[in-house]
Amino acid sequence: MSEEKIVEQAIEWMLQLELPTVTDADRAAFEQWRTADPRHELAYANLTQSVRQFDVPRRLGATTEVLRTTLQQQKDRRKTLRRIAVLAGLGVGAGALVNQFTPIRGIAADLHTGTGERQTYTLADGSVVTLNARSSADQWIDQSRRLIRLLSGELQIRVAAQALRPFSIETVHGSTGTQSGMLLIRALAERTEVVSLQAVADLATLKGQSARLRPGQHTWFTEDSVASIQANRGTESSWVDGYYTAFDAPLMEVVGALRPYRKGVIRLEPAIAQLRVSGAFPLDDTDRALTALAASLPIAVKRVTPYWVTISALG
Amino acid sequence: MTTSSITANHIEAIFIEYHSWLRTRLRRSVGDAFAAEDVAAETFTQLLAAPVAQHIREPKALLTTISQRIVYEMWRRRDLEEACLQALAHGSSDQYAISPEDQMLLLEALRAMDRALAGLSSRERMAFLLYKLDDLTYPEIAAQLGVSPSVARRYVAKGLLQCYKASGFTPLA
Repeated sequence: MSEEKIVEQAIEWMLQLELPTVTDADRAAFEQWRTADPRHELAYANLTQSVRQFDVPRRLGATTEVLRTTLQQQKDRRKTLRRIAVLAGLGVGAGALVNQFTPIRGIAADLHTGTGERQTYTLADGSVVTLNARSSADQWIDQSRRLIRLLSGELQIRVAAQALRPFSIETVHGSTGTQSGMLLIRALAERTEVVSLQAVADLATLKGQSARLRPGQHTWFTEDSVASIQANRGTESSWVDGYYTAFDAPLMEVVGALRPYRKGVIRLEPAIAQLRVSGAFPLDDTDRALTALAASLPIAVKRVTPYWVTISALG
Repeated sequence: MTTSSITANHIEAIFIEYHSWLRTRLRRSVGDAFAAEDVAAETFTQLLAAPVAQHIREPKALLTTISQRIVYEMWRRRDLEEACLQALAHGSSDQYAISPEDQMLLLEALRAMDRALAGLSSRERMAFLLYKLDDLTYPEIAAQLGVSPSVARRYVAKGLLQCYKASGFTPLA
């Protein structure tokens, strides 16, 4: 007899035995069926086990209505996926659609660093740019303009003084212009951070808001507006020397700074993301940085694979 | 160079190239940066574990497909967690008395149910749940669904078969 047939028989027996009108004769007949073949016995035991989870709510005294409703709401998965795809602005698995997206900027960009790399470039006008890890930028230096478009990541620039040809650094949120001096710009997904080390810099958001940064000040802006201007701590550019310096910073910020220096994934448990951290962490040796974090905080750093590190609460 | 290191290097290159792209996309669909970071991390972890061809031609399409599945599962998990809490809160006179162990047990059970019922039609699922969770009789289920009691019984039997199949037992010897 086929396996499916046996399972169907087991099901019939289970339903029969669960009827309120079940008789001793039924039970005897079931016993006879069950012992007639070891496969019957196994199928029935399997079946019993496979529905055991449905007894849990009753055992725990949970109400069933909300459970039933939720299980009933199991939507057509394809429909849900389509909804997500619309939100994400992508067709499901459609290669043709994918091609419409901006070409890959990283490798095509003029200035580019990979994981764990920092690179310093001297531009045609004599300005010097240092790119942090996993960053890329395009540059246009000619008679009429001096422009860098920071596509991703972070850069420090020492702008060669030229009063008639201001230097502009653009991100998706807006631009930062200066005639000379040193600036740090970081392009995040949701905002652009600007630190003036020794420059007077004019910020302009995409939507036309503007602000002026003086030496020793920093702020950030979105495409709409500029945040309040703050005084620097003096360690903002320590990454150029290979260290990330934190003063009472949330752990997520420190981990965020380490990520571009590590191949693979660092997963940070949200519950501990706001733990406060102070210290200087070596960017070029993220293993050492992670060990230092684990030594000073109630966290566990687990290396699942060399590519995947999980940071979770201790205990 | 071994096959696995070619693949690892290739995936590393994809990671460098697409990680922030994926995170940005995901932020729009899941709404918060942490969830997006987690989904992105999980996507690359699954990509690394997947027995994919050495060269991935359409990384964006593949990453999108994998991450969508993870996002779907994440949303579903949140729905189920929410349902567990509500079910235990209603069943208890003191909502602060709900034990974490109970929550965990119920959540595990609910996930198993969710998996088991995936292949059923909406009516079959309803009939099965009324039978197993609420102990209704076939005539009662039949009345709720507007079908005959024998059809209600057939739905329940279908549900049992689905549970059996979803459990992944080794074939009967």
